[in-house]
This record gives sequence, structure tokens and C-alpha cells, in this order.
Amino acid sequence: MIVLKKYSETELLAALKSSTDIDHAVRYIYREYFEALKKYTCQNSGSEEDAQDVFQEVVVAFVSMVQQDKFRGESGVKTFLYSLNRNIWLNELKKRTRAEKRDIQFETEKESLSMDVSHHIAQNEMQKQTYTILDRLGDTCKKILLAYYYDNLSMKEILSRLDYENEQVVRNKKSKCLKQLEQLLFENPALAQTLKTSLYL
Amino acid sequence: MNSDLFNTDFLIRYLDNELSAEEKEALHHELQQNKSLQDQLQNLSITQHVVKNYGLKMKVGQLHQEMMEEFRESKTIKKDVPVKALWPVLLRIAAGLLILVFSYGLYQYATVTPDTVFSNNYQPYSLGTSRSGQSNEVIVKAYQQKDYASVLTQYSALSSPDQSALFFAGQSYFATRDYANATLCFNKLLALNSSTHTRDFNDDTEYYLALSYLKTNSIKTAYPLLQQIHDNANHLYNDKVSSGVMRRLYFLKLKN
Repeated sequence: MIVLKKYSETELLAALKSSTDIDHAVRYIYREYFEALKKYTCQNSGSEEDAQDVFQEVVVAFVSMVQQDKFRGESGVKTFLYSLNRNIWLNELKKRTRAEKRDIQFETEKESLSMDVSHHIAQNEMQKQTYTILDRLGDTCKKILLAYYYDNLSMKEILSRLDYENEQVVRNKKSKCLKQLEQLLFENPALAQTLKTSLYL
Repeated sequence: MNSDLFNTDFLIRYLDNELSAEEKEALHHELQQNKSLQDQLQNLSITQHVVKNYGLKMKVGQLHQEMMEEFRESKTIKKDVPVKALWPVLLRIAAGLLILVFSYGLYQYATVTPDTVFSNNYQPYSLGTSRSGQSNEVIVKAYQQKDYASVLTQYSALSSPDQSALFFAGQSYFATRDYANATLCFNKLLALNSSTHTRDFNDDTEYYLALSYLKTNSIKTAYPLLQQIHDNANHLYNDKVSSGVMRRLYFLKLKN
């Protein structure tokens, strides 16, 4: 029988920042909050699938903010996740319908957002664009960059996973990929501007 | 330090924390006066951040799939819960049926009498054409004509009646509701068959003997005889002695 770990809020935030405990922490968030947040989406014109997609976005946004120390803890985790979920879903609804009624509702509700949540909403669309650009980069580049910058693997470990002559070749490839990605991201002035303002807000 | 060194690779090494203290200091110094270098460093830093965020998105996506699967499985398990919840309902239905069966049994027990069992089973013996041309033709003919008095007169005149005479005499007594004498004749016939190792009218006699016992309220004597007919699939009257008949007889036996 699997014993599911319970986290206090402090433990949860620490686990989300850790590279070893993050999987458990994310699973915990799903088990603790998914049903409640799903209910909100489903009760507001969303389908089960919408609720799942929105929640996935909520988790990515929340973990990202925690890891960047941008979660200020002004509210509890549950309240904050609920706010994120509500605003991501209302934003999505707004995009889908463009109905005046919903615009008013959205604008009214948006006023009550905390700074953290508002910031995320601005980032959300920009992140989706960056994902598309990363997908254009090619599998090898993505593997190397993710292994190095997300999984924090050493060059030696990356070499053992990929078919390259030596660590230096991997290192050169990694730099080349990063430069290529930089060019792709910043060739679009509008996106470049959004990236700069969003990430350095 | 030569400013040409501060190229993209150098900046990447800086962001990856691979520079020596001396190189870092030189870069910090250059950054203070080089806006273009600052921008480039910022762009690279943002690019790394985009990669990390993409990694996080992939990681959460993977865990998302795993969790949705877990929720689907737990929903499947929960779907079994209503089946469990049905148990009390099923038990109530079963209890209801049991009460119904019990009530029916009780009703049968209360209402069953030798006469009800008899009337449900009695059918006057009728002679088939195959029976003609046998001994005691006069008795048989009289029986066919339902002239029971004549049958019995002729039977009484016989010093040693055979199975046929005994059977029709028994049937005539039966038809005239003299069940005691009917029982006597049928028992004599069975004894004769037994002593002569024959089975003339044997199955018919057993059945009508049992009915005679029922009529004389000798349930305990009738019961084993009818049980024997019920158990023997080859008995001529097996289909007449059903489980229902046996159940009613059982109630009768209990009542007596």
C-alpha cells in the first residue's frame, strides 16, 4: 500500500523548489485541489476536458512562480490556486466567446486579482508562444537544453545519453542550440518585448 | 582583458556559472559600460528561463497524464460502490421473496387437506383398448359400462381372483367410495404380484392404492408410496406425483 505524503504549505513550497521532491509535490497538488477547481470550471460553462487543461496550466504557473520566488504568499496555496484557476478559465472563456457580457464579468472579476495572478495572466499567452518556438528547435537541441537547464544534468551525464564524441562536442552543441533559440525568440519584436517585460517585472 | 572575449559563448558560460572569479569580474566591469552586452546577456538569460519553463511544462504534462489516469481508475473503483450500495436493496428483495415463499408455504400448510390433494390427483381409471381380450372379460366389460355393482358381484363369486379381477374390483370399490375395500383389493393385488413375480396392473394399483390411503386419511402410509412413484421416472404415474404434490403431502404429514 502506497502511503501518500501530506505537506504543510511551507513543506509544499520547499518541495516544489527541490529537484528531487517536485514530482510528489505536484501529485499532492493534484490530489488535494483538482476536484475542487474542476468543479469551478465545470460549473462555469467548462467541460471536464477544459477543467483538466486549465488545472494543468494552473500547476505549471504556480510551480514556476514558486521556483522563481514570485509567489508572495499573500494568500494560502488553495486560495491562490483557486484564483489562478478562475482567471485562466475566464481568460479562456473570453477568448472563446468574445461576448460583451463575459467581457464585463471578466473585467469585474479581474479587479479582485492579486498582483501575482495578474502577472501570470500576462505571461500565459507569451509562454504558449515560446513553447511553439521551442518545438521548432528540433528534438536534439530540445533534449540537450532540457537535460542541462531543466534536469540539471552534467555534460558527462548528457554525453552518456546522447551519441556524441566527447563532452566538449556536447557543450558546443548546447551553446549552438541556445543561440539558435535566442534568435528565434527575439526575432519577433513584439514577443521579445513581452518576454522582457514579463520575466523582469 | 580583451573586450572581444565577451562574445555569446562567454556570456553563456557566465550564466552557466563556468567562469573564473577573474573572468566574472571582468565581465561585470564590461557590462557596466556596454548596453549592447547587457541586452545580449538579458536575452540569453530569458532564453534559459524559457527552456526551464518548457521543461516544467513537460514535467507537469507528464504528471498530469499520470494523475488523470489515477483519477480515472479511482472513478472506476467508485463506480463499483453503487453495486455495493445495491446490496441492502437486494437483501430486502431477497427477504421479501423469502417472506412471500414462506407465506405461500404457510398458506399451503394451512389449507392442505387429504381431499384437496386427492381431488387434484384423482382421475377415474379408464380402460385402454389394449386391455380388452384379457381374462375376466365380463368384469372388465361391466367396469367399462360403469356397472360397479355387477363388477363387485362377479368379483365376490371368484374363489381366487387374479390380478385383473382384484384391480377392477378395487377400482369399483374406489368409484363407489368404499376406500377400505378398495385398499384391501389393491393390497391383495400387490401381494399376488409379489408372490408370482409379476407386475400386472402394478403401477396403476400403487397409484390408486396411495389415493385410497389419502381418502382414508392414512397420510403416513400414502406418503412413502407416492414418494416411491415420484422418485421413479419410469413409473406410469410419475408425472402425476410432482414435487408440488409431495410438498403438500409433506405438509399433510406434518399436520397429522
